Amino acid sequence: MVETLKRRSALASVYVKGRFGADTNVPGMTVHERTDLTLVHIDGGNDDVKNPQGFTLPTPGHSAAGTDTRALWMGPGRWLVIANDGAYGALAQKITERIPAAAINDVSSSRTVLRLTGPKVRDVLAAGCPIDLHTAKWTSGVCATTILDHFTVTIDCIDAASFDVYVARGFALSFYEWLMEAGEEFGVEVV
Amino acid sequence: MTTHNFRTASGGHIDRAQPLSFTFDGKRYTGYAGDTLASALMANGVRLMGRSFKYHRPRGLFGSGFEEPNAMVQLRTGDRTEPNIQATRIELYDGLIADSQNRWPSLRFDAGALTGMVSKLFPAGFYYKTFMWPASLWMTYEHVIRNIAGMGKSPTERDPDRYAQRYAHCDVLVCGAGPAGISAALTAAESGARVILIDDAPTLGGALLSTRHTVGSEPGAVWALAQEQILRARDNVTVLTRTQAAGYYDHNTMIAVERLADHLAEPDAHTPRQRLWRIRATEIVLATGSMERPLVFAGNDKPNVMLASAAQALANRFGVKAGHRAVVFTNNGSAYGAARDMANAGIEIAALVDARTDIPADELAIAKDAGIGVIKGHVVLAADGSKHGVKRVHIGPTPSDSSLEHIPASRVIDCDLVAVSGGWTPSVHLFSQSRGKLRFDAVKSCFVPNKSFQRERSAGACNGDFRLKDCLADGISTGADAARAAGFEISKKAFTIASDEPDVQPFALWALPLPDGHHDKRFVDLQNDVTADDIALAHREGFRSVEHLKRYTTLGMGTDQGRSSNVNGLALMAGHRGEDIPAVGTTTFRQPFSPITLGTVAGPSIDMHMAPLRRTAMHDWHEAAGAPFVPAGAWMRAQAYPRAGESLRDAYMREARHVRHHVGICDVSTLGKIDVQGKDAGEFLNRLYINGFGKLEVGKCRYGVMLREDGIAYDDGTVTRLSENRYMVTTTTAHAGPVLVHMERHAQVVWPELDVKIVSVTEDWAAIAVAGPDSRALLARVTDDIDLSNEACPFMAFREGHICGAPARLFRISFSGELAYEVNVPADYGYEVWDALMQAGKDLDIAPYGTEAMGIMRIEKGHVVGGELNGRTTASDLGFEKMLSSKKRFIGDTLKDRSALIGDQRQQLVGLKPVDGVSKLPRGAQLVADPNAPRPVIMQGEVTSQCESPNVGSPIGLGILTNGRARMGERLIAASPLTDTFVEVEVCAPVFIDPEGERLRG
Repeated sequence: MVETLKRRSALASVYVKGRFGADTNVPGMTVHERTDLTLVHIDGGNDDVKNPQGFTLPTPGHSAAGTDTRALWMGPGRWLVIANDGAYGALAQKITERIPAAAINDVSSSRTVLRLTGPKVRDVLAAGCPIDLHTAKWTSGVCATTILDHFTVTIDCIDAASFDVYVARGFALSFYEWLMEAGEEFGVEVV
Repeated sequence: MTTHNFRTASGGHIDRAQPLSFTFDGKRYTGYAGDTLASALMANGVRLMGRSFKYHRPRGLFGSGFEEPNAMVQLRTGDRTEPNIQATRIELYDGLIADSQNRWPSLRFDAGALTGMVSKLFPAGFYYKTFMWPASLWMTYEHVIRNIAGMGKSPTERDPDRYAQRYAHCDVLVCGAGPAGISAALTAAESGARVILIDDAPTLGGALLSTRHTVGSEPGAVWALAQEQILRARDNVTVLTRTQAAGYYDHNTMIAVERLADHLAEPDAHTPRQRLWRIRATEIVLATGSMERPLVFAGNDKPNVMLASAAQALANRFGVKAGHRAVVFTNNGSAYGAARDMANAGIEIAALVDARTDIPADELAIAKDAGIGVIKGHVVLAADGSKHGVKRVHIGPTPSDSSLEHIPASRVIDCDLVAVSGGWTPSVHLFSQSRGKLRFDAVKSCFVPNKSFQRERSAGACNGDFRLKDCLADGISTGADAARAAGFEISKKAFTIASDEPDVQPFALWALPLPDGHHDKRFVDLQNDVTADDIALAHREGFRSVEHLKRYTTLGMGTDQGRSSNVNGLALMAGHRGEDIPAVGTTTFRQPFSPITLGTVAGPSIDMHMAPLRRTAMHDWHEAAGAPFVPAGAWMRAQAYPRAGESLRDAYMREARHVRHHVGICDVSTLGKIDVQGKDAGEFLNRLYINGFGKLEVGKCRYGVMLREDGIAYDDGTVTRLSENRYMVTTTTAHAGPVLVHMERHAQVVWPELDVKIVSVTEDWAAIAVAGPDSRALLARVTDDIDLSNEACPFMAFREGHICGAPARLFRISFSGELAYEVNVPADYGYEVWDALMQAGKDLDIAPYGTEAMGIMRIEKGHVVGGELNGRTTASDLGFEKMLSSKKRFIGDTLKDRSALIGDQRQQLVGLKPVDGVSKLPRGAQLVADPNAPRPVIMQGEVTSQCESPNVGSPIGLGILTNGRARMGERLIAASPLTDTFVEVEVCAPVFIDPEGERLRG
């Protein structure tokens, strides 16, 4: 019997660190897969869910950083809470205790999360995203579930030059191929 | 290599220090950086650039931009070749290769030109009239006609380039960067608005590059360059050059195509060739300029009969003399400046023939200053010449009666260039695409924008304001208005500019009579070879509406969409009808403005990226094992795992046999998984499914079937009660999305009072079916916290614990009919758990099995899937009538009892086996009593699933058959006339293996 299992990324077969695409001085986009995250989905249903102790649940169209967590608004009464702590089910258990009426699911495996940074990130995203990603509108803590090319994604603006992109695990590899092609002309570094 | 016989000593926006070599029709030439292919060919004295579409007449350069109807070439060779590219829009690069089109066997000797000699036999509509009868032979004629007619050739090889796309948003989008567009963009940018300025040319300036106007004290081109630098330096402005605004769509969306690498021999390694922009603008300023209109006279298509603006652009922008001795023919004042610029470039102006008798003094002064003789009140009646170019023109007094067919010529003038100006046509294409309405301006004799439909405004020449001072002033006020309308503050700047430019008020002159003794054609549409006589013919034959005129004569069709011909054609038709031009109207302008490549439209969505692919957590394992994949929606599923020397069939037959004797594992991650929670979750499921879930114990699974509201079976799957108020529902792979939507809709809209929360968890869980007599033994090895004994974990039990070290959900359910379990682990552990199971089961002879073996085993057990849940069958048809609860109401409850859905005329699920025991059941076959019965043969049912069964030892199938359950043992024919296969089958129960279900409960 296997004692300790390692989580395996959906990108395991294609994720290669290094420089790709145009030979620019500074890479237009740096890609980093955030692995071993805990993701918990909260569905408050029709109940008016108040901020549970220790978590800030953001208003529509936003994300909010907590002490060790970040929460993204996913829809009316729905949020995704992200933590670096990797123990399966622990965070879900904690949130369940604090919001017993909500439906809580540990969905840590459900999404691949990419941290995209660099001067050309907005241009890369604009290759497939029909919403306006202008710096004046997309500042830290703005978040949307939208499309990138064919893919449904959640985009969370971390700061002026970095975004987290959440994509369904099953589509992650196909998405990654699209992303690398969209970034090729600007130069991409995978770290 | 030839020398530049026609290049001026200096001048033009070209870099004479950068010579470029290129090849046209196999012959090498040189040009300069800054040239277009058209200007470089003209500099080298090349006059013959193509053959016309229908008559194969020799044609040369006619225009200077988008309006060019003749000089279209096949650009590049091999996999990058592109047909129908206007030479006026091709930036010259070193090594460019282009070929003329529509000629055979060569441009200079063209066999097709014979059609011109017998052209009386080829009037408008000739092809339709002659070859459409008999209709069945059109396909044969078409091949021959396409070889003679037609334009360039499509590439036959795969396009090696990549194409990108980009979404963009702005407050003010300015299309066109001539004087109006530049000043609009500058003004709007001042307000702080986000501005995008696009232009087709490599630099800003528009007409300023081709004329010698000054802005303030600066030459126009210098001013434009300075403004470009100012605009590019602003961080609220995006300047896109080499970009065509191609289509104006709803919601103020502009589609534009940026040519990133078309000015290079090939793109850099990492650069896309072109980029499609989808720009959403709050306000749009159209500053698309105007195009000069030709005049219609005999032989007006001879090489080197061209627009005055084209000759002017060659002189000013490219330092090219379009000829040595020119006749300028005009009906308006704009040609005076053109004639002056041509004279300045060193072209002898033999005469300026002006149809007007009253000519404003300021216009005459321009001619006088340039030493140009004006022949007032005269027109060019005909041009003579050969494929080498025009040789002379016949002129005569301006006719007073437009109905005359012939008048005597008064004079002949030798020349090698005829520059014509019939007035100007505003480029209202984008405006018209936006659904704006046009009006006819009788003074300027052109259509101009009238009523806007979307949030746009036109500025400058595209609005009928042709003079530079008007363009600049218009641009400023329009740019300010647009910024203000987009919510920005701006004060309108006063702006005046001195200008000696004549306004454009053409003398109406739509087609000129032929000089006595002359019989040459008078072309209205050069690209489509439509003559003034063709329009008269269309009128005589009753094709009087503009739309009919267009279809009948092809006027305004083709790649240039009649940019130079529309107004003349409409005016001629108006004349025949005896009506005003506005009464005749215009045809509709459609997107794109000028052709764009399909590659740009497709962007990155090609090959494997036509649609995104969805992979399970174990995908890499299947791939490494050499499994072929089959698509299931977006999912890719492993079909089978062929071993060395095995065919695909060998593999799945082995796998299907193996599972029934040993143990196999199958990746079933693609099934939909939905988490349903809430106090009313049980009640919610009761309403969705035909069977009851109220009494389902925690830790138990139950098979469930859903109906649509119309009583037809919708989907099936299992429902597992995880805890008091929490269930997990599985759906078929195909219906995972639709069932989620179905649930959400009912929870949110139909029964909002129920406390129920629905979350798709399909992506969270990797799902592995562990099936076969040894499955319990295998799982017992990889878990230490789940008791797998039949007592502790009976059929339809659910347990949580750890499998192979991963947190796991274990469902004792069976699709194969064997003792089986379904293991769910978080997807990130899926690959490792699968691999660990394979390792743990080695001595049990574990084997993976794919969708084929899974399909065989479910047919052996009579489980229904898409073939049976086909949108026509009811629960009773499929044998689920005992599941239909009478103790509750559920979706489809009422309508399932419609008279058409009950009774013995229904087609019911049955099993089928070949009477001979060996013949395979034809896929999709109809069940009939006698295929040779008189037509129509009564179809009693159909084969819905079929396979070869290694466990039964013969082919088997499932089908639906009228009153099928009452017909066991009956013999019918499974008929597939499509494949000419007819197999005698016996109707049997739809369970071929273990009908008592002892194995799965064991």
